[in-house]
Formats: sequence, structure tokens, C-alpha cells
Amino acid sequence: MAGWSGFFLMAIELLSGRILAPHFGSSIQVWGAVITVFMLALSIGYLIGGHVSVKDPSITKLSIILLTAAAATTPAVLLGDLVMERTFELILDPRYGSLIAATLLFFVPTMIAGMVSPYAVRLLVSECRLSGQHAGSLFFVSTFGSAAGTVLTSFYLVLYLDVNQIFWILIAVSTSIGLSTLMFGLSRIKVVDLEQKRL
Amino acid sequence: MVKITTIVTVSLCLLLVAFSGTAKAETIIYTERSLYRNIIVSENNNTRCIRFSRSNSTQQSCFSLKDPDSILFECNRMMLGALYLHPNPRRILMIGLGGGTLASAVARILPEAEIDVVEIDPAIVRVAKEYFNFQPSPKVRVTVKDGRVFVKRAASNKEKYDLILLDAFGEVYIPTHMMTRQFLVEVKQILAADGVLAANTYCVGGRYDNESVTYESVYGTFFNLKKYWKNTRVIIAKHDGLLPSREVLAKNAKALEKKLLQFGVETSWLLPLFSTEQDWDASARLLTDLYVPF
Repeated sequence: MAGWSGFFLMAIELLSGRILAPHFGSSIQVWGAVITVFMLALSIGYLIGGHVSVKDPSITKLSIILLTAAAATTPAVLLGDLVMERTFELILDPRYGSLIAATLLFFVPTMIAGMVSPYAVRLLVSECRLSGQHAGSLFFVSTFGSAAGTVLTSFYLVLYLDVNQIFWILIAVSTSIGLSTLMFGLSRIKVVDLEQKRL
Repeated sequence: MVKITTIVTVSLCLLLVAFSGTAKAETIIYTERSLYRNIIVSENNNTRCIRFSRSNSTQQSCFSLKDPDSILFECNRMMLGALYLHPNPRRILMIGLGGGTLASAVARILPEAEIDVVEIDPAIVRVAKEYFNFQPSPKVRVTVKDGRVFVKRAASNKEKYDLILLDAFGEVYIPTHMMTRQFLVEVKQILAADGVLAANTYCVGGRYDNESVTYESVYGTFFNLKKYWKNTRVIIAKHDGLLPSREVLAKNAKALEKKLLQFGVETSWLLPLFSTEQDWDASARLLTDLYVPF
């Protein structure tokens, strides 16, 4: 899940540059705005994810985070043009225009996706001594996913698919991963319940 | 026998001189790593060039120090062909400055015209002023901005241009958002009813077909000026899609002949390049804001 979340995030970050370019250009400032928004959203996501993981962490809740992130991405596809159009009309400077538009479209989904990693660390860590090792492997998986998402999207996906199609595919994959882990989580709860009843 | 040896020796010497000459001739007079590319200004046999990579083959713009008026680049000369469709444009928009050769030429040919130049890279504007004798004036205004943002803003301000010269593509920096159907529609919005668009698209690689169908979808039939198979290409299109006849082109060319000749553009060279032949794959995919495969 952490690996996919990294993939998902970087693919979206890359495409967001393409999405903003028609309204705000592809100057270095626009890329600066995109990266700023994503980093800011991620930092807050990490904070919230860590905070939420303290109380009753479960794979079910983690699945719900992933599903919410996917759902929160749909407005970027459906309302993207409208939001950018309005922002373009209201804000003359393309630097702040792109900053605001990127915030409106991508801040929430990125923040929610950012919650996945720290939450997953909590699920993996069983004892204090191994916490660093677990965190390390989780960072590895998630950042490796990011690299894969970047290269696959920019080298291959854009050759065959349009930006919206790629978005829908990312959302669909996120949803199916989220749903399957949710089922897995729920079935485990049932098993645990049954075992407890037997005892 | 002696004769043959002399001939061989003389030709060898000549070859040597020729080679040492070319090896020495180019001097790099200025380099800068700007926000968007490497800028290299070099001089060679009284020709000053600007290019964006170390390799010699990708000159962007050159001008002759001996004859600063003459336009050395064929694609720039081809861009001036737009005047055959609209000999007296009042308001002109140029997207992409390069060395400023084209902008300076247009300003000299049409001293009454108001010219807006949009360039994304402030370093290019500086270099054009310093090394290529490009001089902004109240009639020639330069804006440092992304071309598409400028066009979109101009469209929302309901501005109109008689001539738009799109020269923003190079081999290094390819602004994909200025190759799409949506962009060309926005450009059309700011073209006057009889306005003309000329685009220097540097179609290298596999873009030729996509580019052609995209322009055709917005402007209908256009003049396609090509050289060296397809590597140098200028598209000249009209807002209303009504291209002038050969006779009208020839008449306008005749009227402009003297002015253009000053810049080294000969009617006998330029006029035959005008072609409406559709030599591309019509089933190629349109380039849109959602789909540019590079």
C-alpha cells in the first residue's frame, strides 16, 4: 500500500504540471508551485497520519485512508478546468495562480495519501528495537514506488493515454487495492472474533 | 610526374589551410546557463550565432556582423512569407524571441506596426539586446512571460492581432502546451478576422503528422513551407481559412519585394515554397492539452 501510494503521488505530481500548463504556463515558477504544494501537503499528511495511528491502528483504517485519497482525487479530474479557469480570471500573476490552483486541486488528495506511510509504520512495528528497520523498509518501498510512478508515467503512459485516462487508471488501481485490503482487514477481524468466541 | 607531385602537394596544403581555418574560426564569446537552457553565443567568419547546446548543429539564430540586415536563417525568411497573406499588419504578436533577428526585421519592414514580443526566458532578452542588436522601443514591447499565458490573457482582454508569429520551439526546450489544439484555438481567438498565423515548428522526429492534423483541425487548409525534406517547416494559416490565390500571393510578393530583399529574402526563393499539399498521415492523433506524447 505504501509502495502504491508513492507511485500514485508522483504520477499525480507529474501530471499536475501538465494540467496547470495550459492556464499558467510551464515556467520554472509553475513547477515550483506544484512541488511546494505537494511537499506541504505531504508534510501535513505525515503529521496527521502519525497522529491518527496512535489509537486502535488497523489495516481496515489504513484501507479507508487509501480509498479516501482516491476519492479526493476525482474532483481534480472532474472540476479541474473550472477551477483553473476561475483562478486564471481572478489572479493575474501566473505564479500565485498556479499556487492557488494546485492547492485547490491537489492539496487534499496529496495530504491524505501522505497519511499512508506513517500509519503503515505503526502497523509494522511490533517492538521498539526494530522500529528503525521497519521505518527504513517502509521508506524504501514508498520511495521506490514514487520512482516507478515517475518513470512509468513520464516515459510510457503519456505516450499512449491522455492525462484524464491516466488519472482514472490511478484512481481505479487505488480503489481496488484499498477495497481488497479492506476485505482482508474485515475478514481478519471476523476470524479474530470467531477465535475469541471459541475461547 | 613532377606536375602530379606539385598538384598533390598544393592541394594538400590548401586542404590543410582550409581545415586549420575552420577549426580556428569559431570563438565562443558568451555562455550562460539560464533557467531554461544553456545559451551560447559564438562568432564564426563574421557571423554571430546563438544556440542552446554545445553541438554546432543546433543554431537557433544567426546574424552577419558585416551585413546585420540579412536574415541568415531559412526558417526566419520563411516566417516573413506570412506578409504575402497580410502585407500590412498593424498589430503583431511574436511568441519566442531567439536572437531577435526576426523581430528586428519585422520592426524595420513595418515601422508603423505595434509589435508585442513574448519570451519566457529573461536571459534570452538580455542576450538579444547585448549581442544581436535587438532594441525594444515604444513600438516593440517585450514581455517576459510564458507564451500561452500571454495568449490566454490577451484572449480574455479581447485583444486582436493581425499577425502572430509563433517561434517558440527548439530542440532543447519544447513547450508542449503550445502545440495543442486548445492553444491554437486560443491563438485564433486573438487573431483579427483576416489575421494570419505563422508558426516555425522545427518538426524534428515524429511530430510532423500530429502537428499537421492539429493545425488543420483548427485552421483548415494552410500553407506548408518546407525545406530539407521536413526538418525546416513553417506553417502559415489564416483565421478565416480562406487562403489567397497564387495571383494574390504573387501580387503581394511583388509589392514587398524591395523591402524583403534588404533582408536577403528573394521572392523567387520564397514564393515557390508555398504549398497546400497534404503530405501527412491524416489519421494521426490530434495533440490536445490532455495528450501530447512527449
